[in-house]
Amino acid sequence: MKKAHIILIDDQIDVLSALLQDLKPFRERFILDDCQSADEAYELMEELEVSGEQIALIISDHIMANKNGIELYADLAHDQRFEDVRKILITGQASHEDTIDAINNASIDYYISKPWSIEELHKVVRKMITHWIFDHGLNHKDYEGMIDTDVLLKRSKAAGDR
Amino acid sequence: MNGLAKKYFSKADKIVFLQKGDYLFRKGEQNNNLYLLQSGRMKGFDPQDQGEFFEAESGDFIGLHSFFSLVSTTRMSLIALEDSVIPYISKGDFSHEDADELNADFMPAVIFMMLKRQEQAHQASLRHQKILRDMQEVERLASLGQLSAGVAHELNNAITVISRGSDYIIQQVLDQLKCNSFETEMINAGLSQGRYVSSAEARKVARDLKKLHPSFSDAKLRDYARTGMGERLASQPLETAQRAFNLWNLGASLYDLQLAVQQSEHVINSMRSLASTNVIRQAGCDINSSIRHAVSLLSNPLKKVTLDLRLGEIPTVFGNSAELCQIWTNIMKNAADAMAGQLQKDSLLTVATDAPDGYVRVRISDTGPGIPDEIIDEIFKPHVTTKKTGQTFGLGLGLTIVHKIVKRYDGDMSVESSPEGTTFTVTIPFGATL
Repeated sequence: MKKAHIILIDDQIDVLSALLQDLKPFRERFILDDCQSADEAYELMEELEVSGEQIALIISDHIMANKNGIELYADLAHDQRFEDVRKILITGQASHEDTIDAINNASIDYYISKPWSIEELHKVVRKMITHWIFDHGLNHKDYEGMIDTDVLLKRSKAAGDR
Repeated sequence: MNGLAKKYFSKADKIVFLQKGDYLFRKGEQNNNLYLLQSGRMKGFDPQDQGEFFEAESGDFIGLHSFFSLVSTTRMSLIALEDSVIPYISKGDFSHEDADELNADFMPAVIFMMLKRQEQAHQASLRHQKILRDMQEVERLASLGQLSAGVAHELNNAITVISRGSDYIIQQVLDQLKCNSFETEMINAGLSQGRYVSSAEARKVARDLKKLHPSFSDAKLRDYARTGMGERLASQPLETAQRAFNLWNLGASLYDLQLAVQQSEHVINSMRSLASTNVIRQAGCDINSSIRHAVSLLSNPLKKVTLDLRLGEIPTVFGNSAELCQIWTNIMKNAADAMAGQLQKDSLLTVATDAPDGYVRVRISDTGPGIPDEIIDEIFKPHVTTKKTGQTFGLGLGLTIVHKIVKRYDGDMSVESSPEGTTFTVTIPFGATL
């Protein structure tokens, strides 16, 4: 089974490494790609898209040196190729306006504040993965250990109701 | 004005000569004269209200109010700021028939004077408001200072524990783990250089390695690539390579820990100087060595910058090295941050010291994008920042701290900026006037 990609973005390499380390358990079914800028990530995503690779989830830092996470996600929201990629924003510092902007213009799926706990991170990632699996009609049994049961129940019921 | 002067004020016998400091009249006196300040300078003020005053220069009329209004009592005291020559006319000189002509002739002058006084009063009010705002700012900074001192103190304890603890862990890791020479090399590489391979580079190297080792998993090859010794690891047996990578990662994580401690210490130090200090200053303080110390504290942010130190022959000053060091660290960190990631030109940081004239002059220049015109006048105020990245202090207090310290030394600070770069100039007097 071909592994889909999870892209991680943070301009500070030590934080990026911490993310990589924390998400190691997901390496069984996903390829973790680390990027140090929004531009690097976009370039990578285009390469992957061209080679027919799937991108399930992006986890990006908010405040970065050049383009910030919200700006990236806003761009992606308007890019048809990447509409279905799940988006998590990590932030250590956000104002009301940023939050509104993130929700309205960037359609992010989830917000995590720094410092994150590994349990919280895993829980959110599992939720996102479960959603993505259902979005693409994949078999959740192939992703044992990475499923969120609440989401599973909700989405199964919704699928069954149709 | 000249017409009026000729028509009414040319009588040679009606002139008052005042020396500097003499009074023309005091507030509350009867005044039936209209004076024309021919030469000199006068100040009108209310002895009971320090705030209200005006200045009269040559060509101005004095006593317009009391001359033309019903009340002929003077509203202010008039004192000569310089030797003055003041011709005048008196009410008694004119008859009823002259009144209309007099009023008509002087009307424009009266209106002009009233407007001028009004404008001066307005300016005084604006100055007053600004002073109030500045005072509020000082109060805010003072309470911010207190808060910072408290926070700094609390954090300090925690940071000390982390710092000592991580040093201890590093020692123990090296002592307790039974490592062969290759493994020791790997840990030390991580520990001393950290994660210097960029994510893009690691991806590229991993791709190349895949061609040579197609059976290895992508994830593993990426791990090896991240160490900067990808090929070496890939050519080891699997178990050896895995253990080697894990040890490198351990070293690199400890490196990250030390980096975070350094950053925290920098933040805490900066916060401390916001509070009123109990800093001990002494003679013989060498500014050049405080600059060198600042450079070493910023070794990480300065990694991607070309540093040009031109430290001249300068005398020592009366001061505190750690305190002065904060000036340099804050300015240099700003410079490094401003140039971070710029590709279109070189990142060059120049620090030059010399002693032109009774003070030590430090000039710190960068080749960054410059400070926007709109904010350059405000940059020393708290909470003004162009920085949005989380990697920096970001509270906009760095230059406020710098300004505070420079003022404590009775020194001066200026900035020049253009799209080519920015130069901060700080001068510190030699002397001990603290």
